[in-house]
Amino acid sequence: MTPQAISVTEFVAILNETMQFAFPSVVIEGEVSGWKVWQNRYVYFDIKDAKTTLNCFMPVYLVKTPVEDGMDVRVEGSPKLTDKGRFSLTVKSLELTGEGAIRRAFELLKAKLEQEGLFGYERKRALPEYPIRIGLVTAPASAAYADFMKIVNARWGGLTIEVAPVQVQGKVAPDQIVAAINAFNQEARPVDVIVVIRGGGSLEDLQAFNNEAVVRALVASRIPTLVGVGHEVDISLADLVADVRAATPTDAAQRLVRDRRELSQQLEVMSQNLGRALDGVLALRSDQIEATLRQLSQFTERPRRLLEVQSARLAAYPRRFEQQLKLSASQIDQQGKLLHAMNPRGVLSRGYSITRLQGRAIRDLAGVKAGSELVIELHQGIIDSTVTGTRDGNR
Amino acid sequence: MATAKTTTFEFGKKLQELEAITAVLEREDVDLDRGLVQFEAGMKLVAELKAYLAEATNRVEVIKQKYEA
Repeated sequence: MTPQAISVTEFVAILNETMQFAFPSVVIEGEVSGWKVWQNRYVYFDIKDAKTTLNCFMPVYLVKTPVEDGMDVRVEGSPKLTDKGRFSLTVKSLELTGEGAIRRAFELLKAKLEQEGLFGYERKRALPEYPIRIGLVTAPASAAYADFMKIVNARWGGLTIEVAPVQVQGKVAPDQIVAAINAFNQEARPVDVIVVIRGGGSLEDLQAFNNEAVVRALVASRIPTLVGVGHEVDISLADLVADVRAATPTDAAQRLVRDRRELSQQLEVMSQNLGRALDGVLALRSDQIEATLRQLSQFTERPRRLLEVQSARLAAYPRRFEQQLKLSASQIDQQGKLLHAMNPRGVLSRGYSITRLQGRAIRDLAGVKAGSELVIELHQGIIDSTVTGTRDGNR
Repeated sequence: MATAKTTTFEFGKKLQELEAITAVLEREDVDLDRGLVQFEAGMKLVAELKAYLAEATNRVEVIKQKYEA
């Protein structure tokens, strides 16, 4: 008995249904080869191991990482027989596995972004010195979150921190991180800084932060970004495009806000400066007042000095006057002596006499004859005499 | 319904105001009366800023919305 015949198409359809039932989705790991992008819409490649090779097919927009031949990958897809009888795995997601592949992809993407100038220093914006609203993108149940919050709470207060909970590793992480960054950018009242943090991990664990979409979301953010991923030595592409890079979540907290203890000390100093400045103003004013007083005193100084000079001059007068007096006195004295010498009565004391005829002193015989009466004044006494005769001269 | 604060304390701005006041007082030509007024305003700012540093705490809001692809 011959089995029922079916058409080729029917057979392929049955096979596809059977496979769909058995393997609705399958995850396969292998090596990539023959990677070919067609018209920038589809990718054809082979996935293989040591013994076997399978064709794969996927749309380009689902390729989230640079891929090169030789890379180890993990693909998720469903098996299919094409109408040409060709077996193909329709891939809906592709991940790199193995450090080699991951590092290689990292290098490729890094080179591409660097060429676009996305790592340039001139792109970086400064974070606000005293932010008030923070947008935090992280896994809330993580040690990174706990460390970050502990340091922030110790350092500063008055903040409002909006936490966008996301996965920070695994397949869905990149999409969630992108969505959170975009959401913060679309808020009506935007935050002052977007902080993206995650703790340490393997290269594979940190992959989400080397994802191109995540990097571009950070680049596009209108709000300044602070990224702290992994440990000191881990530098992800997200770190490189951030406005500020923190080495760790703790470092992120320190770069985000200042330390209130430092600010307290600074306030002390400022308060003292203020007091000193006021002292300066007062001192300046008092100096000015003093200077004005001094200037004014100059105006009282001159009259005072004039007075002094005049008093001195006046004080000199009595002496001069005395001298004058002394001079006059001796002059008077001299004159007195002279006068005294010339006093007729003084002559009398030397034996001379004054002879008067009829009341007048005479010095010759005019009017004198015998019988005239003469009065003779001596130094002491007076003689009444009658002339008996006269004679010429005193030979 | 979230109760938003009607006025947010802008620490940075107030610190700048304080620095400006000190700068004014350090100038030679400030009037004494004005200087005293400025000084008082400055000390008031110092008190406000100190109080903020001592008392302000942070508020954390975990966003409920899920971030899907």
